[in-house]
Amino acid sequence: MLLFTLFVALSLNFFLPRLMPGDPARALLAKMDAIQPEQLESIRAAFGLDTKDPLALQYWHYLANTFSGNLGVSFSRFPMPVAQVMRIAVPWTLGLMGLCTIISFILGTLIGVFAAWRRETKLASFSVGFFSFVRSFPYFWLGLVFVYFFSFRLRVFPIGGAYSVDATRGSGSWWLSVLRHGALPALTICVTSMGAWMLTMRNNMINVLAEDYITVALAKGLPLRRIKSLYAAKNAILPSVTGFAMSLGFVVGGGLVTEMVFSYPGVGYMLFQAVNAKDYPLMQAIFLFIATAVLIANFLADIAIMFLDPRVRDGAK
Amino acid sequence: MSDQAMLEVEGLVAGYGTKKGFVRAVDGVSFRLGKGRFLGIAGESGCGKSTLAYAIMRLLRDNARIESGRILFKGEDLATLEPEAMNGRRWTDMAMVFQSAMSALNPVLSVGEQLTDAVHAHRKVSRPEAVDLAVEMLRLVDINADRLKSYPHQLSGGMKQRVMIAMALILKPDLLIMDEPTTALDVVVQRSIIEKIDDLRKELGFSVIFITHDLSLLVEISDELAIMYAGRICEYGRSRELFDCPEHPYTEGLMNSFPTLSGPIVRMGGIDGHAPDLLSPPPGCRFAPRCPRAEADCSRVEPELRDLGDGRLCACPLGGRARRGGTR
Repeated sequence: MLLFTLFVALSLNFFLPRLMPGDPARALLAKMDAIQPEQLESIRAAFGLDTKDPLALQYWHYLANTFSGNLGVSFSRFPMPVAQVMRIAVPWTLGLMGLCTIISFILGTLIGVFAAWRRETKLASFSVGFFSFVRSFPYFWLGLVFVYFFSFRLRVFPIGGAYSVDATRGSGSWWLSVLRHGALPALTICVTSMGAWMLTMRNNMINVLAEDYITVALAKGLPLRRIKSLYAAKNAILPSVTGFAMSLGFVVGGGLVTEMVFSYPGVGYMLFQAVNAKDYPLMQAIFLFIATAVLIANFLADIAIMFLDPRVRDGAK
Repeated sequence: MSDQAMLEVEGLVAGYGTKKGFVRAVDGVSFRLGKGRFLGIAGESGCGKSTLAYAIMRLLRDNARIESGRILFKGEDLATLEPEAMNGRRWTDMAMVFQSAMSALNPVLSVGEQLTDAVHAHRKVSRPEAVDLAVEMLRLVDINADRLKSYPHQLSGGMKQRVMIAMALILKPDLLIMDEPTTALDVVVQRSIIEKIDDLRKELGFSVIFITHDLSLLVEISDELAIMYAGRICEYGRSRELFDCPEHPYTEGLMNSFPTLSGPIVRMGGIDGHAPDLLSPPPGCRFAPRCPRAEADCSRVEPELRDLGDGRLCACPLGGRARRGGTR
């Protein structure tokens, strides 16, 4: 099933860009001055755009190449292979978006558990109001606000990029610059996405707390910590896990606008550049990457749910 | 009734705080329960019988609370006990079986874990010891030991309720409160569950408070019966006698509403009207507006729970007259 879905994704990935209007070679050349017609032809040949092969054969080559790991050569960063371009961008996105998604899920869920468990307290009511408010910010807007105040006005954080070019890569000061560059985008993502996890978990948890097995657990005189975790939270988290896996999958492409706002050299920013430059091989590689990531994340979610919920475990047998 | 009262409820008032005021779902209930005795509490929906059970276990949540009265368990007042101390009492001294067999077990924990966590919460025992205890309890309710690894969704409704009973008895409590434990089950399973409870009571010697709206279930196994109406006990007595010769018109109506499990087929009756609004209960006798034998005074004078002798209490001035007349 996983392989079939992957195949469909691959095929769409091949055909969709070819339905787009425009000639990538001309688009590329438009950026340069005084190019001779023969040079145009040689660039076409170099990019493999001069092929007379029928589409079906191109498709076959594409599949074969993809499975052997050959993603082609980037048009816009010629002659860099796409795989290498990806290798540069992916760690930034995984590091920033991936970590932020995991952190905001864990924090949001924990706060949600608290807000439901101690829902009569003022702090719990306040957190519901606060996160409902914060959640409704568009994240790119919040990003722009942060850039304006912290980078432009107060100058405490860099305005864009992912690391300082002055420091030696891998040195202590370089890592520090990575943290400083990542702080604002990370804050933007966490603040805007935590609210959703928190409110979802709180609502699930409040529903679960009304279940009879919670009353039974109270009647049994169990320690409240056990009731909170194994009786209430373990049941309440099940719907959130699927959502979490989905968002992990979209991490790869979903940070597009955030990465644009902060000029962060991740996959999203690169996709934006690739589309502008009609860089088909790079676009295809990024789409393939996103599709695969979503598929894998869903697969992992299924496994996690199976691990958490015995009813699903039985259904899978 | 035994002299040694294990549970003594005195003037208990409990209910729910609402925007319109406090609803006294249990309004001045008193009774005594002796060691090893079986008390049945019957009444229609909304008469306060479940609230009474939850109040005794101190399980009233959210807007529900105990307003006044005492719940003396072995001489100690549970109504004013500190929450931590009460948590220690739960399950060791008194356990409860709930109405909803289907939803009373945590779907994501195995039967074994749910049986043993109660043990670990109250006793310092090793894991194997707790498991042994769980196996022993499952055997008591005729469930195979390999079910310890099962999850609730793999069990039938009757099995779930038997697991619940095994769970309730695992710490050998002195009091078992059962809140309509058979309502969600079919008649055949109902019967087997009730017989099981009766056997176990004889074997282990715990007292039972059995709450139901189905009087016919109670007659054969309970020692005493309390009939509740609109938050109050309207009649109390030895089970068989009360069933054969009800004194309160409400008890009589309740009996006509259910077919007996054995005995001749008779035409079923019922009680007209609805239970009163407990925010503003009617003056005088609360049953008067629905009572077929109501007299003018009934809506003015609040009836007392009178002792008719022989352990029979009745909150109707007509009680005792009917007894001599021998109706039904």
